[in-house]
Amino acid sequence: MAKSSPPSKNLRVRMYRVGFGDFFLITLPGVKGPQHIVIDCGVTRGKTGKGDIATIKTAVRHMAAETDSKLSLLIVTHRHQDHIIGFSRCAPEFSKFKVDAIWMPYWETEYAPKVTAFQEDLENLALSLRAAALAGDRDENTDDILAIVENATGVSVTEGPGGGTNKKSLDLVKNGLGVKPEYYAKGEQAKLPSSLAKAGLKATILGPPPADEIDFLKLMDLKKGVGQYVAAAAGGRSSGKLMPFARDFVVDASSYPATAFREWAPRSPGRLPDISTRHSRALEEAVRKATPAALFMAAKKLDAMLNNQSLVVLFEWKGKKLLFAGDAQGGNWEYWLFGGGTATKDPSTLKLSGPGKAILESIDFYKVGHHGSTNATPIAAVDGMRKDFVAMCSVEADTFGSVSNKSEVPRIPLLEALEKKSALVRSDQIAVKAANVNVPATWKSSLPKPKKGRFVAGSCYVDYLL
Amino acid sequence: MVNQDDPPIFTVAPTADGDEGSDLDPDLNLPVFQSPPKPIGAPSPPPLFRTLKVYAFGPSRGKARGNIQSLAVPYEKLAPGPVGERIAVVDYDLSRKCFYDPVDLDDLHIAINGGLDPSESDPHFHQQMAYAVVSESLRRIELALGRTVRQRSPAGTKSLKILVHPHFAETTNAFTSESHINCGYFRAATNAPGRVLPGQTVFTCLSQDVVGHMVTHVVLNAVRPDLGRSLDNWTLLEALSDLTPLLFHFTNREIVFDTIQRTAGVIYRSQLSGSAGSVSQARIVAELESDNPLLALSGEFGEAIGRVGGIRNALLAPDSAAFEAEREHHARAAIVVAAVFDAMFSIYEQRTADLFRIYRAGGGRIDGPDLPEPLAGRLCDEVAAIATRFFTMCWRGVDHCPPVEVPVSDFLRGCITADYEYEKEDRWGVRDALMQAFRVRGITPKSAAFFSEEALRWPIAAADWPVLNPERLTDDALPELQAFVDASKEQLGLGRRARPTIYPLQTASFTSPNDLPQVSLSTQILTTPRTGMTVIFDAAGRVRHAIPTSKDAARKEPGF
Repeated sequence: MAKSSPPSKNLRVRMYRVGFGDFFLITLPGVKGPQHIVIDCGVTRGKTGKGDIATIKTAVRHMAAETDSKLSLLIVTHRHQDHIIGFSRCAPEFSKFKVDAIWMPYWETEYAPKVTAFQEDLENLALSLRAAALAGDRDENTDDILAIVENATGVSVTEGPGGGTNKKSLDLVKNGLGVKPEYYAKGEQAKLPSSLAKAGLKATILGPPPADEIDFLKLMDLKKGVGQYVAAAAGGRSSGKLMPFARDFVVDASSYPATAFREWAPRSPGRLPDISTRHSRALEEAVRKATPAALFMAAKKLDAMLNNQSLVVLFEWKGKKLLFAGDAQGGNWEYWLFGGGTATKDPSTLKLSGPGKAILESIDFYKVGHHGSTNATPIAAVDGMRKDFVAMCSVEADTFGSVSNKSEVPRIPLLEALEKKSALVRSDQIAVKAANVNVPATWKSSLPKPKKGRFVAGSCYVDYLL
Repeated sequence: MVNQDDPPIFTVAPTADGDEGSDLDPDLNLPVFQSPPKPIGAPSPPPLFRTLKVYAFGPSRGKARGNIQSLAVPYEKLAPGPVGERIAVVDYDLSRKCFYDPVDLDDLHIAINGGLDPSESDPHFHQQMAYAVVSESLRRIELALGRTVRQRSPAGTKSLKILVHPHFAETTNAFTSESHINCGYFRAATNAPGRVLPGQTVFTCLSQDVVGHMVTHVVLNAVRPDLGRSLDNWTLLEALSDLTPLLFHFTNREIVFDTIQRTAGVIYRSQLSGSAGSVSQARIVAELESDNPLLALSGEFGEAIGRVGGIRNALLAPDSAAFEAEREHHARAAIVVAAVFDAMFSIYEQRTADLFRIYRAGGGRIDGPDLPEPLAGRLCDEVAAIATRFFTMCWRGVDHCPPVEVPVSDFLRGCITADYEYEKEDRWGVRDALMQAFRVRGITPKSAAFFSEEALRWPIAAADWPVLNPERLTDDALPELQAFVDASKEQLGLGRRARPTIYPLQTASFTSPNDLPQVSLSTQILTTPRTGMTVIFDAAGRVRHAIPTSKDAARKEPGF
């Protein structure tokens, strides 16, 4: 595969277009030639199934050629499919890589039993959620729930294209690349490989919050919040077969008076409702419809819980600052934005202060958190960001959420707010043209001109040269 | 056999046509009726109440004192379900895809027995309890609000019909959707705490706390449909939904009596001494300390409504930074509940101090064994009256909250205002106690200039508001309110072409402790989708308060 010429003086951030998922390559000039950092490699199909555009293998091969399969650093922000599935799907390519260092969030550690047990519980919860969602009839919410579960577990309900699972990906990253990952939380000093340190790179870990007792307990409470919906909270799975009463009590709707179903009786103005028939089907339908909504809430909580495990890294190179926030949501952001220890402040009412404010006022590059979803970049954070930086958002339109309930991803008001302050580029505005793969841009818009540096579109990526 | 010589038996008053062929009794000088008297009027009127048995706390407390309670709910004729005028229990199970046989509470045997006896294995009892608790909760809330609750929307109001599914699915969850209450059942964990058998089936509908909580959700949605989904509104909803059943407990005389005796009157102690008295190390069950049931939402059900551990911790350690720092709405609600209880217990202390003093002056010891029954009885009366006062204040406070977005501090202002309208003198000092309890938990209004009762009460509206003509109000008064809004554009800050959203008028009628009848009318007028005013009128249609949405409410959400 053609190798693009690496920058000799500049730092380059490359966003590959893989669909709904993150795959970034940072290249900077080092003492012994260009040094490469990969941040995440994943994609997910999403609710609509449109998220996976089947370009990730092309992108990984391109990256392998570009880096000669040598990485100074690999960062895996969190264990969602749209951030890690590429590792197992492209295992033959990745297993040839030589990697100097791997960073993962503290939540991936294998040395703290309570953390590993917690992650295992989350996986079980996700599976219970899927079972509960599949038990009812499919509706709009069901698809959302299944998409969230698929992203969390890497298990497809119907076998999707490409293969790979989250479990295999984590296994490859942790055990298959010849180097043991370092697990970090805010406040810890990240150990940069010497090649990057000599190149003048500095890194600060901003998230996730350290797993002290309070934060861990909060997560346990959240887990209970999720668990209550799927009967898995207290250690057992829902049997699905619990018969609460003797069979003698089982009857059909005809044992009830027709007035029991009056809510669904046909009505016409000026007349009493017609309660001559039992509208029992309508009642059953109403009960069924109310249930997936509760499951959906649980799925959203589960999703946010994993996103908040994201490793948030601030790079600094020659006075330029680059913020990679993974998929951090509410709690994770607040922790470092408003100062450690006050992780639960309401970001809408507080003013930024101290280190959080200083960081946002000085960034040159921002990887838009969580594909531009609502809540992933707090209003206070956008307000606090300096003007004229560059933002990159890896996304595939029409994959999750909907405009009607203000849940579309990316969230339009957020991107509009970011565009007022930055030069913003989306991955889905880049067409992929490579051997056997041809995916047109789904977001029609020309590349903006940043105040500093420039954008260059490639065969399956867009570069920002700073 | 009636003796011919005996005087006739009059079963009803003689009627004008009862004198056919009558002669005068020579001794009495009264007519003697030859034919038996005819019955007059309707048969005897239906009873006012129907007695139904329920668990006060839940089946796990068994027949412990006060746990089996007889609720006297307003009588209505019931079809099997029970299905009544406003409440219908339909036992449909989504997990098993079946209905369970409905109970007929009008059945003679059941009615004479005061309802079915408690049983976990009989769905009929579950249906009875669900009906009774919904009916009773609704009655008390309506008493506090001073009106019959109706479902409001900008299009008008309609009768509130509550549909209850006591076993809607196998799940640890209980939730509402519109006016439907869905209670789940589930298998207890193998490590279930307390009195629950590992692996037994737990029914959320058998908890008054869960059902009362759900009724609050339904009623709040009916009376204040303008409130959106935000952290503040969720906090208010959850707090009120916990307060409603918790305050009920204090009117259960038997359980309060027992608690008073076992705490020597200090009813807010979280642990009760064993029924065999306090010992350093318990040897038998009767010596074991137990949780104070008045303070905790029932353990095995707590999880079903997202609550683990009740309100005790919040009550023990008021922390002025905790509320502001907390983002999870259940945890925030627990702090609000604790604040209300703090105030309530403070008033209890003040109002009973003289009783204890008299008791001690007579040689009584409060650290000794049981308090004498008359004293415990008087304390029970006080507790019940204070709990009712706070219950009324909280619910009437809801009517005095701004539209769309209600920060908890605005709810406090609403309660203070509502209570002032109820009893201006505040002889018990409840308003001051409530303010202080909120203050020590860091809940103070940003919109008030001072932390005094006068400053916290919503200001009296300026005199330039037009009057709502109360002479001829239609049902929802929407046409009249529209005319009022048209005349109040300046006061409401409306542009000439604005099309505000108007919610139907609701009335609150009650009698103040001064025996004065009081009527107030309220509505919500949204000038934009996120802002507006709650307007409270007096009985003459004059604007009493105009309560605006707080300024920063429109930008409350942290995300885009």
